[in-house]
Amino acid sequence: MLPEDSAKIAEMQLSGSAPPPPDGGEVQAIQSGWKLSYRDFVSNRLAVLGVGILVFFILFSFAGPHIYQTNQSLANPVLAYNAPGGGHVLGTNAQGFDEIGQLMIGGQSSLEIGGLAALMAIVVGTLFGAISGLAGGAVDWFMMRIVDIGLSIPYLLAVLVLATVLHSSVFELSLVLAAFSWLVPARLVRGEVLTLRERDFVWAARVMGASRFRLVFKHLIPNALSVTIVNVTFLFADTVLALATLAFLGFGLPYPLTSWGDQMANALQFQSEGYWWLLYPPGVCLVMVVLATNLVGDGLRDALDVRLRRR
Amino acid sequence: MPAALEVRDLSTHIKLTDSTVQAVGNVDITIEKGQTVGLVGESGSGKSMLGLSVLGLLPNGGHIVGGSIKTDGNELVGLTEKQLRNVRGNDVAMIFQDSQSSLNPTKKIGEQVAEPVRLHRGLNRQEAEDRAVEVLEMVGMPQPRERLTDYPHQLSGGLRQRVMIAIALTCEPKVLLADEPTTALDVTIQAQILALLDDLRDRLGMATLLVTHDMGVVAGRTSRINVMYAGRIVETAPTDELFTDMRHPYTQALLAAIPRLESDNTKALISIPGLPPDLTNPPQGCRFAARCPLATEKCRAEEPPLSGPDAKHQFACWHPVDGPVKTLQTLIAHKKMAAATTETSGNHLLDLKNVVREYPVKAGLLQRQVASVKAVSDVSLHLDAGETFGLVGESGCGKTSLGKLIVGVEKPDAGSIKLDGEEVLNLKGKELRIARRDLQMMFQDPYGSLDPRMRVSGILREPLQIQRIGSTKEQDAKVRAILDEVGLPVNALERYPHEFSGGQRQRIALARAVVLEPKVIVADEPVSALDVSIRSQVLNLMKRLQAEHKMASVVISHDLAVVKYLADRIGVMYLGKLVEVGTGDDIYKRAAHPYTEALIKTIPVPDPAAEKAKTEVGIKGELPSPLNPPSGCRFRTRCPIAQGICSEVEPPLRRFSSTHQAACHFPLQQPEPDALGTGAAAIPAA
Repeated sequence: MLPEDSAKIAEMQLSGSAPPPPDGGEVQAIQSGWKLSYRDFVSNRLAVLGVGILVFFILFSFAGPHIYQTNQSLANPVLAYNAPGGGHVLGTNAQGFDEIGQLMIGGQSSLEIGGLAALMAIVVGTLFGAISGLAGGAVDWFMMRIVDIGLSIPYLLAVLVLATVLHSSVFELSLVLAAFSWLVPARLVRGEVLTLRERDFVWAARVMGASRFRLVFKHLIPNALSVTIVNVTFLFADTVLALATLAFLGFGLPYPLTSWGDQMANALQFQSEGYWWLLYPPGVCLVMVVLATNLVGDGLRDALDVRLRRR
Repeated sequence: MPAALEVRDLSTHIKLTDSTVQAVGNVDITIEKGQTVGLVGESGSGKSMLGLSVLGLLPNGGHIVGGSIKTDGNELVGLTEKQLRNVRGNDVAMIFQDSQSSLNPTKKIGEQVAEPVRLHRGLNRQEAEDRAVEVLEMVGMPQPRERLTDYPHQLSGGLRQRVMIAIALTCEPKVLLADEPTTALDVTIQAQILALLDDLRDRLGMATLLVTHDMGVVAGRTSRINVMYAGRIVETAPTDELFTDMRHPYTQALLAAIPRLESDNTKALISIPGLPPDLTNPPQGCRFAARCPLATEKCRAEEPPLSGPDAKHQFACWHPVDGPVKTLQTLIAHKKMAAATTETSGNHLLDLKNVVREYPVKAGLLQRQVASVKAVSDVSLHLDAGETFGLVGESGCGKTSLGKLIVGVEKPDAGSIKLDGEEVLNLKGKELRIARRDLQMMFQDPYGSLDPRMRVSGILREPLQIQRIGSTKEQDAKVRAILDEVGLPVNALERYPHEFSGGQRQRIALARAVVLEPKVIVADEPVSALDVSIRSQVLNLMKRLQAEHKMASVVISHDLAVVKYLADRIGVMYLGKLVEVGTGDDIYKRAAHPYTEALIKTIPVPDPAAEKAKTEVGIKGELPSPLNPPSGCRFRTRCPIAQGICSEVEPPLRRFSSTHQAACHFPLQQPEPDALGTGAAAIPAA
């Protein structure tokens, strides 16, 4: 009999009754990290409320027009500036369009631009930060100085200049807004990568001969994901607000396109005439969406941060 | 007279979101004035929770559900927070494990040491400062008055731990709780701190509870030992009796699971199979039953009480054993073969020649290099096929850097590293990637070395994917085979690393290193993060895999016993230099370098007689800075027999036998005549 056999038999004897459990012991299913995060998130009532508000506004803007159908293409001066009541719950605007219908259309472009810009910013920022952090040395220095320069340019001024040059379509406005909002996530992700790259599992991948490409996409970015996810919510809120600011300054979407910011800017001229229904509803929508997004972001940050996790 | 600390029937629970951890259950401990009592247990056994219960410092959700804690006859359970604050740091003080995180990095150590007396005794600033100097002097801090204005980061680990002890002692507590006081320290420093604690107990007459996982630490320092398992005390006995005549199978297995310097490394270590129970839902009967070789139906149904014929020696077991394990099983058959090949072949599998690695330290606006950390200095060693080479040394001696150099993820500043006669570092691109198949590494921290966002199947397949070996199906089969080989169930494949215990993760890490079937595997502190009972499982497994796959390996550890158990030959490193190389017996029985000998003497042995026989503290002082190592022999600043020549001439490696070399001017053994290692001038032995 081989000594290994005797050792195995001895191990079996040690472990008692047959069939022997694996040497290393059984593995119990524990809730996955994501599930724990989900539980933490759900137990945060404000964050859930935030999700509820966001879902409401998404449905309102995109599904709403199909349910609550109004004339939004043919201007009708006869109906202009009707106060709430009658057939129009929130009245009508200068073109005689139903205000609720306008809010839905404005919501579409506001949410689209916010989402698109945040998405572009986070993708660029994450890649930029991850590559910079992993490369280190002169490459890192150079890449981070680009970010420093970007952050030192007055944001609003540059966006205004760019917005005049470009045609103001949904996509182009998103591009302009994203061009300035990827800088902060790039910095955050780089910081995260700097600590991750010295972790043993990254060293282990290097020992196996992993390429830099693999390190970035298989190990660094997935592990920096919690930073990214939290950041994308705040980016979204910032972008929706920045869009409103642009529109308010007169660099928003051209007629007949509209956003909540555009609607508020237009309504301001009629403030003295008491057309309150043109100003407050888009304002309330804007505040609600930004507030809800921030609540969700806070909730996500608490839920994804392992250090804050309750067991 | 009431005992200094008397814990009766204490139970502590910690409430989680949807379950309750029964961390401590019905524990009794009594410590008399001037007595040191040991509390030994694995992580998660509730030993730290016991200490925190005494202080009333339980984590969120933790509360004492029953029992009493008395110091000097005064009940602590049920006191208000304000009353407890008067007790903490005053009557009862605690020393924590990690001095790095337990000291406030933004406050001067003088203020931190003086804080307890200012709070409890209301001393003014000057009086408190005088007291701080007094206590710092007592704990052996050199030049205490000058050190008062230092910040924690300016002190070494050993000195920081002394500061921690000083803080605990400023108010002259009656009870000192030392929770793993030396676990984070090197052996040489550990011995100093333990001797200090002993000395302080004798001078101040404190009652000390020494909480540790290390049987060696408690062996020589305590009068009584309590063994804790899964929240219960399973055995309590006077120290000598516990080691020679233990009755609980857990105590027995725990002692047999520790590799010892004198033990025969062809014998398997006793390992305790499985894992400790989940304390949110503890088993009904004896908590050790699931892992106990002697367990019967009765054990699983009914919990044994802590009792015994003698009030001094009690144990909780239905089927007690009598004394230590008598016979061990033989494990290794291939060992003889491996040892035989050591000398014969001229071409080594791995050959390191004069390897140097220095990390630059940059400072200033222009990032000019101002100094360098001399991590590895002029190290030469070789490794033959199937051989295991052990590297030992204190932290900061460059052993991990050397490991990274061997697997080629770090580049040496000078010297050559050859694998199969080919210089690894000259390879580029695809050749380098393929060469990496032969050089794999296993890391120390089982929590950090596996990507938390990947499933085990992905983790184990990754090396094969990177190396483009086999089709998806073949990779899958290979992953399953290796998983079975390291003793994990198939359902592990779909799980994420956090679902495994430390020992299981280390098995996964080992599987990942072996899956490419490398020629050389470097294991950096493979078991130092694991509990004793799990450690022996992993050591046995490593030994089996080494033999089965005929891999050569380099095992890096601070623990000489671990290295001796795994390795055929051992290299001792000190401050970037290899000071002695030899077989296990060369090192252990015929150490030629004073550092090696001191290291062997310093290691705490789980044997009370041997521990108590130790009279000297071993190596004095601390490791010099690798930024500016001493001239000549680097060990001379701590060497008891150093002379003038040691600071002037660096000692070359000298031969003591065909397998044994050491670098010392005044070796403890007689070197072979005119057989100097390198071409340095002949220096007469003392």
